[in-house]
Amino acid sequence: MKVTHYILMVFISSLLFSCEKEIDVDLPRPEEKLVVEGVVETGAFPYVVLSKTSPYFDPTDVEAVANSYVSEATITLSDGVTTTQMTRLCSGTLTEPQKDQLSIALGIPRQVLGAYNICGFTDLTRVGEVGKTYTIAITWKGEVYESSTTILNPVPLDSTWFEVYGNRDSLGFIYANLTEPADEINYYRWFARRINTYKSGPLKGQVKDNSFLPPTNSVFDDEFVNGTTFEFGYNRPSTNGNPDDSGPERSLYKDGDTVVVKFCNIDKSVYDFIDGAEEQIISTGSPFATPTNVFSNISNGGLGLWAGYSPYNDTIFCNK
Amino acid sequence: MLKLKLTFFFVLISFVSFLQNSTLSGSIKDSETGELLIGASVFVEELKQGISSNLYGFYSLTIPNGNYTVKVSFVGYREVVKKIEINESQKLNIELVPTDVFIPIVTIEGENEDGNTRDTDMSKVELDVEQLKTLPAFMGEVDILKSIQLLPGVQSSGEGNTGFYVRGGGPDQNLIMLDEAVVYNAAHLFGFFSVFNADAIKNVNLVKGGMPANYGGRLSSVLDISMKDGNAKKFQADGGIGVIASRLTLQGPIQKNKSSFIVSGRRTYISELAQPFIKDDSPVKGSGYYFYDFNAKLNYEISDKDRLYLSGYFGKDVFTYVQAESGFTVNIPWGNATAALRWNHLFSDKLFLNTTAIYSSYDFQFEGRQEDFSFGLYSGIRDWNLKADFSYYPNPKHTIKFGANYTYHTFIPNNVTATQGDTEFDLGGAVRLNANEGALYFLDDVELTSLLKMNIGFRLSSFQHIGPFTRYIKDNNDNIIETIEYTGKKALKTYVRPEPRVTGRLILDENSSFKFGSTLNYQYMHLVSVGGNSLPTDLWIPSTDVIKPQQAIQFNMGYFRNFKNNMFETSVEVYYKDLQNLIEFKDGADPSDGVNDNIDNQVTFGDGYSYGAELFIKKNKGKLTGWIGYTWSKTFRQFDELNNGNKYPAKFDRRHDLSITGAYRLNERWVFGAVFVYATGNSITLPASKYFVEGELLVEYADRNSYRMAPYHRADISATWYGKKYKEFKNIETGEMEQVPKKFTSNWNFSVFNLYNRKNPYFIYFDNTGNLTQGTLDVAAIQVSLFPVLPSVTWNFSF
Repeated sequence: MKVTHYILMVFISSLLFSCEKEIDVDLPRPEEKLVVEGVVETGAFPYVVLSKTSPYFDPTDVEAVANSYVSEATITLSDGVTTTQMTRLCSGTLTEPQKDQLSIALGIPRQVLGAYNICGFTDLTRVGEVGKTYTIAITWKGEVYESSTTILNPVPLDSTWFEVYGNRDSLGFIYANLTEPADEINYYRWFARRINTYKSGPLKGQVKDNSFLPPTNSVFDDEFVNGTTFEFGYNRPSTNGNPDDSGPERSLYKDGDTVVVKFCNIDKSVYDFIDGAEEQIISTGSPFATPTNVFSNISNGGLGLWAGYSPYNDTIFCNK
Repeated sequence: MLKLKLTFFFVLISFVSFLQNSTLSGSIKDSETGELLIGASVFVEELKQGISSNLYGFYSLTIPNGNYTVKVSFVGYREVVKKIEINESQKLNIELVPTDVFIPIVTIEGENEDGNTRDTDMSKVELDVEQLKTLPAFMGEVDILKSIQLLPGVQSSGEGNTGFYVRGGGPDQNLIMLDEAVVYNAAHLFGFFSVFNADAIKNVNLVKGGMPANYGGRLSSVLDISMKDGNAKKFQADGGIGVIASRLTLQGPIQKNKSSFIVSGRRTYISELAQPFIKDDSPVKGSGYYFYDFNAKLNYEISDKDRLYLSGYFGKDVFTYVQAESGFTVNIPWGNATAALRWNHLFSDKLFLNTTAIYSSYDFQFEGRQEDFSFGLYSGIRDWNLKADFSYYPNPKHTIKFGANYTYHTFIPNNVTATQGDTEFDLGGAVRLNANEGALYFLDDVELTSLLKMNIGFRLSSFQHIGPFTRYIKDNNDNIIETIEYTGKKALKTYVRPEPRVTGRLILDENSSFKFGSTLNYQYMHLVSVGGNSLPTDLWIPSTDVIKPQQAIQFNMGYFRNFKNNMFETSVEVYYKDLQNLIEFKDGADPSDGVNDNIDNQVTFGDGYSYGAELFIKKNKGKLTGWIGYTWSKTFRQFDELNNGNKYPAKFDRRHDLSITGAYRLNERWVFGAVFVYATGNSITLPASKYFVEGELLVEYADRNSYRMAPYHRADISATWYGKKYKEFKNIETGEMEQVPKKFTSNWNFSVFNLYNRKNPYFIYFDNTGNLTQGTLDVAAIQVSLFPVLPSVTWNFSF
């Protein structure tokens, strides 16, 4: 239905005589809710960042963002055998390049990390392992919020390649071939990162993408493709602010790019959250969509996601 | 004791034989066109008794022998008064002369006198299509469904939208029939125009409460639309050229007074007109939209006793979208088709039968293509329907109706296909659901005393979901735990439901009456909609073992009073309606995903109720005619799985709804019309709070429908200028000026929609500016309004 909504929107706005004005919306102040953003990935330290919701129409300036982070909480992490308390790490202790990286990875404004002491939680005693189910329990303001996620077996891609799109000289998409396991229900998420540097322009010498990024519609399931071998492609994910995120290079890879693809096998709750979030991002305010809250795998009314990723990595040198 | 009874019996017998009844029956037609008139009144002055002609212009009145004055009257026609002596049953076919043959303007004269205070029908409205044509029309297109929204108890579903809600019922609870064939999607252009071409329509009948037993299958209302039969006397052409569409209707006799035809077509050309103004480098160059309608009808009077009708409707919307840059093209056609073959037969002058065979379908298609990838989506519904309806008129105290109805439904809620090059993805193939629907009914419209008349009816309805069918049973995590395959036409689930219906009228005095009604209705088909608006993508699905039939119990009563010799009709009605087993999509449902799933796994069930009061004042006579309708109401829904199980106002819960319409006849050439509407704003769901994950802004919504948009109000005006209908010339013999009707007549209609340019809210969206990582993100609520002040002009002609 997503496509139909888009078309209807385009139609309504292009052919009719619509007119717009900004209005003041007066709604009762909503209660604050806990928001979880946590990841446990094969071979990496697990981390959790906590924040809370704020009224929709309140300004989102640096101070408001800084105040939305929650530092005063305790989190335990269990893999069913070992239970540990996650340690709090705060941005005040990070180096400037680490702050840059964290800002991009978590979408926390760089100024916030510079000016405020934002804390996250991690466990430096262990890294994610395939086959394990990880449970977190967060205690905040006397309430306990829980969530579990599993690192599944990785599913390898058969091959990956770069292909010029249409008549665009040196620009194109990344494609992959996947032989889909027949005997299980799978959900996948695609990330990609360009690790080569800009050769010119204001960012000359800098790595093009500082972290792995999801494109739009980054998740899919095997309902239509279960057990088959098929080809699929993805456009280039955007980071706000890179010079090539507008203009002709937008959404496209360029001849000469070195791209690392991280193709993750994920569990259903991760898929449901990302799918719901991506749907909500395009449909909020659409008169043709039903307003729907995003699914969350956090208990007790918490929002957000505790995600286990099982990645398969592949590197592509883009040559036309 | 026994003796007493016998005596009583003999007295009764002798009394009956003494009376010697005879039957007066026949048909009522328009003298100019031979068109049968529906709902014309035949009234016997001396007995103060009468009857209305039925859907086929037939009436039958059994009265004691004697001398009578019979008055035959109908809206827009001159009354005919006949002195008759009746001592045996006789045929009396009457032709009524339209008033506008003499006065070139629509007036309501000779209305079914006192009809509104005398009939047992309540919450029923009949609209005169010719009268509607003098009201302001949106973009110059006269629209029956929009006129209906101006009546109390009927609410429009949004700006410029033809969708309507009756007394707190959903848009799927209206039974919309064109020549008895169900029309599943009555909207063109996402609801801005209805599929009914006013030129081809004879009569519109709306029942919003106290539904008689001969109607069923829907909970809230019946909109019964009759196509014209075609001029049986002479060839006639009518047409119009408007801003966005043109119409042409041709009708005439095949054999004079025996058989006739009518064909009527309409097509839009807005997209063709706009094309030259779209720049070649526009991203949407090549996109377009049009719709067309085609109505046709044949009728043949085989004998005095038999008449055949064949009628059909075909309409389509086609929307194409081309994004040149990416080579992405989309083609979306959708539309209805109906065909009805009817046979009227008179068994006697008291027993009338109408038998109908009907085909009806609605299809929606979506075809998208980009390079070698193509994607298709199809949904639809198909009906084969047979019914027989008897009307029996034993005497003026009783009108008895009984009949049977059978429909075979095929539902195709989704059929998704996708191919890339030579690879066809397995998307599960078409999902089909088949069902049998049947009903038997009996009703008696009986005059119990001279003051109390009741319409007592009973309908027994049934519905059966039949195979072949594959049932997927899922657990709470959406995983399939069992798959059951049903083959053949096996009945999978059968529902049988009794539907008692009672309405009554109590005469209070010469000018006023009290009416009351109580009805129980069931509905076996459900429309589920993804968005809040009625869209062509909405899906019809049947009751199954998971989806129970919807149920409505309605109580209503009203006080009806006419003033000044029926110049003013007024009424106050109150109602309470209880709704059960309503249906909505679950949060996050994706109806296009039909692989290894049943559509009924994606829906959730709840209840609702609505109550309100309706006030109606109508002026029928004089230079100024029109009405004021006001409704006060409350409508709620409660679904366990929506809004945390808390009750919430329906989207169309509307505290106040006011409509004022007026037509003023200045002289023979000029008629002015005006409409004013005011309605409480729609309730919508807005985001309450925001949060960020992976740097993306996400929202948590406030309680469902907890925010009210600004009130909707608007005024429209129109002026219609009629060309001369007569030529004058000097009679050489007498030397006097004489008038001869002109063969070719025309009129110009000038309309202004939204006169004072009110920016009515259509929807609200949120505009994000700035950037989260730079700490500059800002969210604003933007209200979108669709139509500013819009003038239009239409030229109509007839010859």
